[in-house]
Amino acid sequence: MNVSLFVTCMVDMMTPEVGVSVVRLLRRLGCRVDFPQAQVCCGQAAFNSGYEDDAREVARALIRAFEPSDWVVSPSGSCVGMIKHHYPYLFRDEPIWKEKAEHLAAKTYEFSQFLVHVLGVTDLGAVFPARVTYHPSCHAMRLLGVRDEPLELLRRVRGLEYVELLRKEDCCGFGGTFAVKMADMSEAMVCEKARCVRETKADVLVGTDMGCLLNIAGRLDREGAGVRVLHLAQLLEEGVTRRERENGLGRV
Amino acid sequence: MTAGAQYGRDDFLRRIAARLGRSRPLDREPVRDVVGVPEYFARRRADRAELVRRFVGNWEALGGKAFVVPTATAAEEVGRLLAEIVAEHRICRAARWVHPELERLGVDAALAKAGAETVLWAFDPSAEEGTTADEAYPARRRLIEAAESCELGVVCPDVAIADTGTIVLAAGPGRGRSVSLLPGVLFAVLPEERVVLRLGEAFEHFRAAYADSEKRPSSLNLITGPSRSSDIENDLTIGVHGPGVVYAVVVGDSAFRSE
Amino acid sequence: MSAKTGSGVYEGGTDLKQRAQAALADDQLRAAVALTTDRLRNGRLRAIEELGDWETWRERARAIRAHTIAHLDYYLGRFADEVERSGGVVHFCATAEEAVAVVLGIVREKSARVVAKSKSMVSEEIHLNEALEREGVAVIETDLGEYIIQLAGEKPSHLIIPAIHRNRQQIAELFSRVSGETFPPDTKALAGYARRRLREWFLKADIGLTGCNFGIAESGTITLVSNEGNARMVTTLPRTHIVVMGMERIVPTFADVEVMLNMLARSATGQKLTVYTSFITGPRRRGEADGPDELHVVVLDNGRSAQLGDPQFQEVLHCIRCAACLNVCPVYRHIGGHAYGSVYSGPIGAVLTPLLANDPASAGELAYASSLCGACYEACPVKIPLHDMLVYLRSRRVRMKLTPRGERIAFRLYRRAFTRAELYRAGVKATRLMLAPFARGGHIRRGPGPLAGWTKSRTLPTLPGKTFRERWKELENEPVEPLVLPASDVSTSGVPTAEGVPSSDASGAADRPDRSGRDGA
Repeated sequence: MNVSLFVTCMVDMMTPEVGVSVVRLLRRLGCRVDFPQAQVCCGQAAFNSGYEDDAREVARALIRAFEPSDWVVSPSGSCVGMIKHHYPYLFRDEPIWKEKAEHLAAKTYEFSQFLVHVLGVTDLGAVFPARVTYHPSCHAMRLLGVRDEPLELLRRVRGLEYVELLRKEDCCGFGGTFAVKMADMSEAMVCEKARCVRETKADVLVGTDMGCLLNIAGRLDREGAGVRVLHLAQLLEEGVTRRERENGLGRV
Repeated sequence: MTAGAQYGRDDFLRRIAARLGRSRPLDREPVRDVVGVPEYFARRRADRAELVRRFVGNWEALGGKAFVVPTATAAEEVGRLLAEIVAEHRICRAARWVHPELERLGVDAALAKAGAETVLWAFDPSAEEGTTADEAYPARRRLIEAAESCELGVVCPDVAIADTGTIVLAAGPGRGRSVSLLPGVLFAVLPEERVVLRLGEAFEHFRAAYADSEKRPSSLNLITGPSRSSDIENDLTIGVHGPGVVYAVVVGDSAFRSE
Repeated sequence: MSAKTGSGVYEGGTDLKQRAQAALADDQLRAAVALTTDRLRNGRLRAIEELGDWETWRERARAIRAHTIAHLDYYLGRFADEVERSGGVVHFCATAEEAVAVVLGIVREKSARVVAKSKSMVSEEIHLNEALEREGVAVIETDLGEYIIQLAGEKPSHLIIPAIHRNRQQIAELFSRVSGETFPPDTKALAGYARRRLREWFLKADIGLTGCNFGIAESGTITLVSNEGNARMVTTLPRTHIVVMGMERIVPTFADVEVMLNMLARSATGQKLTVYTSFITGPRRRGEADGPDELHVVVLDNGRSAQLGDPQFQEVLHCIRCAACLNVCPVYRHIGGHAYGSVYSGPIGAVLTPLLANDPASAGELAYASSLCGACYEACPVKIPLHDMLVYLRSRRVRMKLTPRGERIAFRLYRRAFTRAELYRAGVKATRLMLAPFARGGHIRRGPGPLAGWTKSRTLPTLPGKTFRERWKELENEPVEPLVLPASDVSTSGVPTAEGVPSSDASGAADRPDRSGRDGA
């Protein structure tokens, strides 16, 4: 199975280790992973701010970059949501590009959805003894319908004590430029989210979108909360490595 | 019936039609494939005993008081209930609809026996013949004020809805809206045959009337429990403008037979 | 002042940010809003669970509203004909000014001194109360929450529960001041006073004025819902009944209103039905002792028709004013209704206010009061894509060149850099250098420029030394050892079981939402 990684500009710039975890896991699950170098960004920052023309050009470049790919997998629910939910609309007046957009949308997957629905894998044999809570990103939930997939994967992690996050479906306040443009409202929202995280007394907060996670982590850090914040791919990779170490399968 | 009228219609509708891409407003009913509730919801059925049970359950869940009385002893039971209500709520005067079922139940006698006076919502339609609205008003006003002075209102619903715990009252001569609105206590009694499952069936009951503009009731009032509000700091309070104490009595034998 | 445009925007000279800041600093308001919205939200969830098959109902409701709006010329025409046939008078008003003039005309004709109102958002939109007061008419709000804020001289802060920002103590003080009596902060006592006082007004009122939840086209019937009974009062006792309604509040038949009432009550408060649902067809008939002698229906456009034929915004006319979107909106939760500075608040308000305004540039900032989380769309009983409409409003402002110049330039640069990988890479290197001075121990505590808003309440990690792309070469050449998957399934404690695990549908279509095209009808 040939999979192209759409790493997203945020992961590329801010948290490359997440991309590394995704690649390692996909390869170990039997995928041949490539990285089309021409990729940059899905364009949602411009689109959500109303700059349709700018977003369209950035989207066009992304569609081009992934044209040869069979499958496209990304560690970001919001970026995949942008492609699936908004690309056909962005190219509504260009029939050829609209079709290309639809092709890309059909073959692009958020990481946990790809694992569960395409690879049919829910149990990687990971071991991760910790109290863990999960924040579902709004776009993954509402644009992509990601609700159970991350939980299915977490369910099968041995030693993991899952604790439900109160008000988990409430937005964390990131919203891309919203966090910067409407900083006061965003702050109120992230403070409530951080409070709910702390109330779970979890050691780890896990999620599928680095925008949300950096936002919540940034607040938790300011509060000195000592909660480790991980992308799902990171948690799973760490869990797999740990199990192999425990079984004496030497992997450095 | 007073004469109706329309003002400013043509330009207004023409503007809408133009925005929708039409040169003139559409005057033929458009074809539809989706009308009303989902089929599965409309197909549901319940037998009479179940309908009564469900109505009672929903009415009580909202804070209303419900009773089911057998046909044979209906007048007695209703009389007994009214006496209790008069005593408990210190009813001096009760307003009631002019309705053959209320007469058959001997409501006036029961109220009188308990020490309450009956105000009949009697307004003679013929008295309005040849009068203007202004001329008819004083008599209307007197009746409204009479109802306002009552602590209890007695009505006979046209239909009751089991799904929601609702009674349905159509206005008409002798069937004033004020009777179920102004007094603080409401007493409604109806035969079990008139309990239906869902709202749409209640509408069906009036379908023929609504098709004929001459026969349409001026008002159809659905009452689902006692008046309430949570506007003050989310704290629920009962009996804000409408009646705060509501009684529903269903007359029939199905509930007893099925036991 | 907005009375001229009748756009429902409140004056005040403040902007959204200032009002939001004021709201965020008001702990009592925030607690009240949070309590109320949580209660209504939980009620809604219970009610839709009780009904079952909610998505089927939602699609049904959407289809009914879409069909009606797509054929509004027909259904509104039919509605008006039936109102006329039932003895009512219909006044079609293109603007707020016309509607106010019609109402004043009726008031003058009747020499009315007292108008008793039950809740009508449209009457607020056209600033009717102010016009009536200028005319020397006593206007009495009879919805308990509206009555409270009228006495307090305030605007509603929530579509359904207008006075949630006031607590018992404040209401007691208010009533005590107004009445000359002394009231304890006790709900029953306060409600009792309102009941007594308003009963006098109901009996004194010359005109009853209401909105209209749904106008049923097949019979010209006005549907009114309330829990207190005030709508019944003002449509039963006064001699004249005036209905003020938005032109889009139409449904074709009684069969359709059964759907809409199920959706409205459950979405708004979690009830199966409101306590009172009244269907009014024409004035009282001869021989009826109560009910009005005259029924006037004022049908208002005021910017609504401009949304018809617009594939992006026509659906905003589907709204049934249930306020479910307010109750799930995280922004509304924290800033309350007043911060929106308009009659309509929350997500629907953020979309409707700029659309109805005569001046497209006004109230445009409301479109940014959203993180685009989509909770509003998810809660909407008629599936209005409010989250998409907020973006369309933003792009409309961009097209009209109403956004700050610095922002336009920034996105032009973004477009140039983010369409070419080499430029992007160079940009990242430049950013890394730029942020280096702000970084301490791997974190940026106080960021420059736009980042200052972020770092005020959060830390930001510094840009790592290497981007993912810079690590790719090495990653690509890593040896791969296939994962040995366990033979059996092991569940851990506490993680909720997935309901209905979808089959491995390669296209993933099973989980895709149905917002595919722009087809309105």
